[in-house]
Amino acid sequence: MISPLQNPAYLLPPLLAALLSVLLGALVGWRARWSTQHRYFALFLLGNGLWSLLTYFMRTSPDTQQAVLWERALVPVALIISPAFYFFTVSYTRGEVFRGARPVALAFIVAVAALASAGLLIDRMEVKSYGYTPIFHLPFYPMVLMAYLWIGLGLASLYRGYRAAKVYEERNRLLYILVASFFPLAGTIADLFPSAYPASILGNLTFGALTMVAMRRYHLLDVSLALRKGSAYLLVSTLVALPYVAIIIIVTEVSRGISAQPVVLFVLMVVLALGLQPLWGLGQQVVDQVFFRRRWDLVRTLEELTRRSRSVADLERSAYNLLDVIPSVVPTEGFALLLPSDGEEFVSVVASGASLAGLHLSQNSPLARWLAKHRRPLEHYYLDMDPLLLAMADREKQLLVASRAHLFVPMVLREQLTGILVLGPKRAEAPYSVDEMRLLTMTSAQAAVLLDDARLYRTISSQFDRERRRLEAFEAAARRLALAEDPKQALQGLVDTARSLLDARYVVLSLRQYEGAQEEWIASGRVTAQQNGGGPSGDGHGDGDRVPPPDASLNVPIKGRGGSVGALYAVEHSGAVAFSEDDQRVLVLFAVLAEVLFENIRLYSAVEHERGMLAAIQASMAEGLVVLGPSERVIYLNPAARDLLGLAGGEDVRVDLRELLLTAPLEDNSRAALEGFVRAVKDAAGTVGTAEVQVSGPQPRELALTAFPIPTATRERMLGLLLRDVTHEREMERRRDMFVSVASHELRTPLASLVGFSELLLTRRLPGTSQKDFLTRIHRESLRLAGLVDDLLNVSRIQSGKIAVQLETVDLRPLVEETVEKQRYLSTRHRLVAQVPPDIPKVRADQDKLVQVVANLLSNAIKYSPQGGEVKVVVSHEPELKRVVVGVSDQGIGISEEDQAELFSKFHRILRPETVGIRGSGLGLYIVKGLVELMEGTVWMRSRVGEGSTFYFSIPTAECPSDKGESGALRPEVGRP
Amino acid sequence: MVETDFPEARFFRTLNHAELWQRYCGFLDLSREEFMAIQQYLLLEQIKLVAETPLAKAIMGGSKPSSVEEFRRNVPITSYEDYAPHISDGREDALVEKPHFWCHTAGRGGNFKWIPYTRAAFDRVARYGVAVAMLAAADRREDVRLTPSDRLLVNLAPRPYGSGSLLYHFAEYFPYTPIPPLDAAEDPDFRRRTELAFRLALHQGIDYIFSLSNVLVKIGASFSDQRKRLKFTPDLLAPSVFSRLGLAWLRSKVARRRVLPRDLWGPKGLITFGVDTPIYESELARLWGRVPYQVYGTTEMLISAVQGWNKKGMVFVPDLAFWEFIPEEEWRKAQGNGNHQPATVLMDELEPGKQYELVFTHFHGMPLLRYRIGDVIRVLALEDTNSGVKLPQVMFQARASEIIDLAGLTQVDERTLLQALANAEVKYEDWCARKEYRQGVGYLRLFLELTEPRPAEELERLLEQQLRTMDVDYRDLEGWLEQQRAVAVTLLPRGTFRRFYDEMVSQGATLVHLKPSRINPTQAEVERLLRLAKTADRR
Repeated sequence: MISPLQNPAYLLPPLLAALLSVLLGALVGWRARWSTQHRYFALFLLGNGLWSLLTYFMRTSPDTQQAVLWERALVPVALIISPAFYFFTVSYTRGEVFRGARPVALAFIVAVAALASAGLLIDRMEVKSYGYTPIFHLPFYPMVLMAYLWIGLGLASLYRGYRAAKVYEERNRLLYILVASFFPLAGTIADLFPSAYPASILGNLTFGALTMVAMRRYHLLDVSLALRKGSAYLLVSTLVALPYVAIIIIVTEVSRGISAQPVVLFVLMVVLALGLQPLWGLGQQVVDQVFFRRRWDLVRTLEELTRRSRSVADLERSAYNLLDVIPSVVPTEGFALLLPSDGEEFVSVVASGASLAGLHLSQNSPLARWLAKHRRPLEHYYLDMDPLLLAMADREKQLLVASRAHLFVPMVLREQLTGILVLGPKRAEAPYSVDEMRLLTMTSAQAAVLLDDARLYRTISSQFDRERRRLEAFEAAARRLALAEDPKQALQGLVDTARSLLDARYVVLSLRQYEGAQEEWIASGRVTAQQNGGGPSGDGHGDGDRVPPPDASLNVPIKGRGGSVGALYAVEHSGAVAFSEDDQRVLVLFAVLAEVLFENIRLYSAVEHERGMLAAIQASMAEGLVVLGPSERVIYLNPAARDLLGLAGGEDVRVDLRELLLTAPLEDNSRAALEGFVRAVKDAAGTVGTAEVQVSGPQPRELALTAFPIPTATRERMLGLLLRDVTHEREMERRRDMFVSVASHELRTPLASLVGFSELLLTRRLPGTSQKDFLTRIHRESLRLAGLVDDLLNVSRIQSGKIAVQLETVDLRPLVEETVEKQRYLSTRHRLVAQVPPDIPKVRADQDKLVQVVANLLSNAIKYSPQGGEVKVVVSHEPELKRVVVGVSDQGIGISEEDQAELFSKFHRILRPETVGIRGSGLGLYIVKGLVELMEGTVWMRSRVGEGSTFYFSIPTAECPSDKGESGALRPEVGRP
Repeated sequence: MVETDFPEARFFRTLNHAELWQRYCGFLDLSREEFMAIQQYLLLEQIKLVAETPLAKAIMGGSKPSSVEEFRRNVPITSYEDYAPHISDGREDALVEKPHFWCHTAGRGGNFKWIPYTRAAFDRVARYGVAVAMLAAADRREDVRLTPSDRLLVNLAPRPYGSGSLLYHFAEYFPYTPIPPLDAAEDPDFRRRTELAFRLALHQGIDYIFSLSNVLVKIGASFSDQRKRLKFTPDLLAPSVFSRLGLAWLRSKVARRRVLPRDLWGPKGLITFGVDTPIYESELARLWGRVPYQVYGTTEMLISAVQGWNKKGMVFVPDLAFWEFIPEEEWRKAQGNGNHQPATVLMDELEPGKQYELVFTHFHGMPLLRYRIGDVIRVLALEDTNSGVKLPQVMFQARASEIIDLAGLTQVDERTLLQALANAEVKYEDWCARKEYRQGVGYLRLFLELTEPRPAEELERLLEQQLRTMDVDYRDLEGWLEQQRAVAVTLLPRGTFRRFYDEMVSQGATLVHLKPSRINPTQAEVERLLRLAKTADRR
């Protein structure tokens, strides 16, 4: 039979208890720096370990003397750790120690120590069937009662904590410690009775084991990981050590007796050392997979989540991935993902379970604020504890209760709450464990990143799309505007497009200088009178309603050359999101477009105005203007030029000059001259040249050309041709020349006669008849000379308007008869007849001038009927026209139609063979016309070549009022050629 | 009913002290930003809740403000007259929901102000009720001494007054033991109620007292009155009473003094109302063994502000109402111009040392919006560094209508006069004061019933001396009045106020009219006092 003192069942338990307690104490003590409860529990466990070790030494003592020494050491330790137990339980359950607990505990410890050192606790040891048993002194009993009191108080704290625990895991932890504590307590009670088996150490062992379970399974004091890690490393070490030891033993045995054994062993050691690291890594991997399965699960969960969320664009996919992944790792009855909506709420975007599907939360809700602040999961019971959460409105609380949300996990990114994972109750109503919370926290962090990426992508994408659409719309609007013919329509289109792009309630364009109006408004959108400041209301679409928006959300000025010309206003829809900076940029672009359009309108108007003026100027020019471009191509031809060149209206004048000249009815030499002239001028590069050409055709003309270079900015060589009709001028010049020639001749002839005959009279002795004859000729030539001079003077007076007429009532009958009589002397070959009706009314005329007119006409009739014949003066009355007409007819050579047109102009003479000998200044008929017109009459003629001519003039009757005054004020048209 | 049927009591079973403290008193640890965030959040919730009701539409002009600024800008400051047509006499059709209960207070003109309380609002009032009890008994943070079934002695006005309604309905939430029982507490006779309460307290003991300060002082003083001896009644033979009296006697002997209330009961907490609480603070602590704990509440808002555990300044509660404050210069402007809408500031704009008139908007579906209650508070400090509370510390100063302005130079209110009387060691039964005019100049007339006779001139001199010491502006007033006294005392014979009370009770007057107003009593009240004084003189 084995002695009880050698019985392993007696010796082993304290050793095991010591090892277990010291190990656990070390584990807890390692985290003692974190909290008081760790410190107290570590103290308790280490004390337990010490007690167990001392018990072991006591049990292995060879005799009672030595045993009593160990007993005297271990009993105080057992007593002293009881306050530590109490303080641990109070600290762990967050209770309050009783007043004076610390001084009492200190006093207790001091008392125990004092009694123990004085040997007043243990009397002696006895050996029983089961081993040593102590015999106590009397003071021991109150001390042990005190110790029981401490433990009892501790147990009460644990019980209270157990009842108060809301978390399943917490309750189990406490239950384990509570139950575990009963065992050493029961054991120590048994130890008090010497006959009873010393069960305290067994109780201690049980306590250690149960505590280890609580630590491992229910995370007591959060040392489970350390426990697990420690076990894992131990296992890894064992896995690695076993083969190593085996190899060493085998090689040692095999190499025993070999002289080179040291070398062999040395080489073996080197090889084993080299293989240590990879073997350790392999062993660790295997152990990790077994021990840290949860973490492997977590890593796989996160990998799975990442793998599924490959596409950054798919926000919905990412959300649904969460819906798939999370419930698979956390056994929850429901899950929802809340994300911020456009309004100020978090709304459920994906959910499993109908109760969570409708969950929504204000972004200003205390719950959201709490999650944003603390950034850790929140269990639902905490809603009744935190002051921030207690302030939640009933509406939201009821929603949360109805949804059965049990856990809220924030998704935080860049210190902002970007979403909330909401979990329903865990299956079997168990609380969410610490590991699960950690898993969810890490998952939410990753999910936050994934969802944020997807959201960012979507936001950027939509913004990009929006901008692209805006640009396209803007481009289309700009194109439409550029092509619009009606400026106002173009502006209306601009305003409508702006309103559409901005989704505005209305957009108003105000222009202050458009079309000269004081101010004009072009609006798009429905405007009420209230918004219009009481002004007209209605649809301001294009009808120029005055709709100044007093509180426009956007207001962009429109600038013109002279400064601000208006503004573009936009007002957003009521309740809508305010305009963004992008919207403002869009409106600025439209304002720029309006500015450009307005400037274009202004320029177009100015250009049109200038063009109109230019066209009017050019159209009213009497001179023709031809502009030739490079290569002598006609660029421009004004109407006067077209007319002067005899071109019809329909030719395309943008042709080569040569071609144009071919079209014009020019004489060949003129055409060639013109071409040569143009070329010469062009070659002369910048000088001005002149030339004259003749244009034939129905209206022959003489044209004076002035060619001048036109400088251009592009250095193109352009040439301008100014065409001036000088036909009349040249005709006048020719007439003047002719008059000078005729006048010279007319003057020279009588002067020659005067000189000749007077010289003869002076130098020769002539018979009296010859003298009389010569004097008669001299007299006659003098009279002719005087008449010529008179004519010239009359012409001058008529031209200058300085000739005066004295209108009076004149009896034509005697005037005509007398004048006819006086002119008889002009020719003996002619028969002069006057036919004046006796009842011819009197006329209103200047008598002298009338005589001059009749005399001139008679003189011309005689001159231009050299064969003789009858010259008749016929006077008639035209009562309906209130005038008298005097006609002087001859039977002379007649006048051609071409001569008739110019007959009454200055210096015109009929140049025909029949008129060679007929002398005259060409002024007579001009004088007749001028004088008759002064008397408010008219002159005309009828004639045919070879059949004679009849010249008529009319004079108003004396009853017809004159448009001249009695003073004979001149009509302004008299005197003009 | 089991404990779990009381919504607040269940937390005492499941939470430890730290957690209980966090739930009930955690609002003291809010930062100003958190406080304002709660205020703004709940205001917007309130607007959403009530905007469609006829009452809110009438007050807000049909608008539905979407921000705090818009609310303050568009909603005018209101008085009870704006609500009376909708909610007077218990009408409910203009409200968002059927009220949990109604309570009222009598207005000056005798028109009751009926205030409906929703269930949601009272849930929070009840929570703060627990907080009050917890804080009243605490000496430090997380010092939780309150337990369900604690005994609470109440001698405040019964239902439907605010205090009675609060305690009556609080019993639905927390299973306290009311002394006297709730049905007995409905007795309108104050004396009878008080006597019953203390008689029961002798049997049962008291954990908390909820009373007016001056009543507790008087009760305590009666213990000190050597002329008063305990009347023997059979009640005294009850074991609980006998042991209580015995222990109290022993304690008093150890302390070498007469028996005080603290010897008999030793309450955990002393919760008091009244502007005179600070004045009687030390006396109450001496008599009852606890520093009194102050709560500021009205019928319109049962609990508005509470002290911290260190019994210093009061802190407004964050989730019962939206608090706005009218600065003094603004309320003066409004006094001069009835059409002036005074501007308000918010909690985070208060300045220490200044007075503000209170304006609040109910939360949780209750009806009052930007309601000007007529109370003036003074800001003591923007935080309490001693206790670590970072919210503004305030005290109740006076009712705006109960401030006497003298020549525009100084203001005297009830608290000031109480302090002056206390400093001058004037022993009085009661008093009231009003402004009168002498040769066109205003002065203070004090009607005083002394318990220890003293000449009126001496009292006037003493009071002026005190006022001069207490109030710098008062010195300017004296200069203004030149040789004339600013305070005139009219002594009333003993028993005048008692006869006033008895006469009003016999006439069936409501509670508020049983005594004349301390400040600015009506002419009728003054005439009644003077008449009763003459009657007392003839006796």
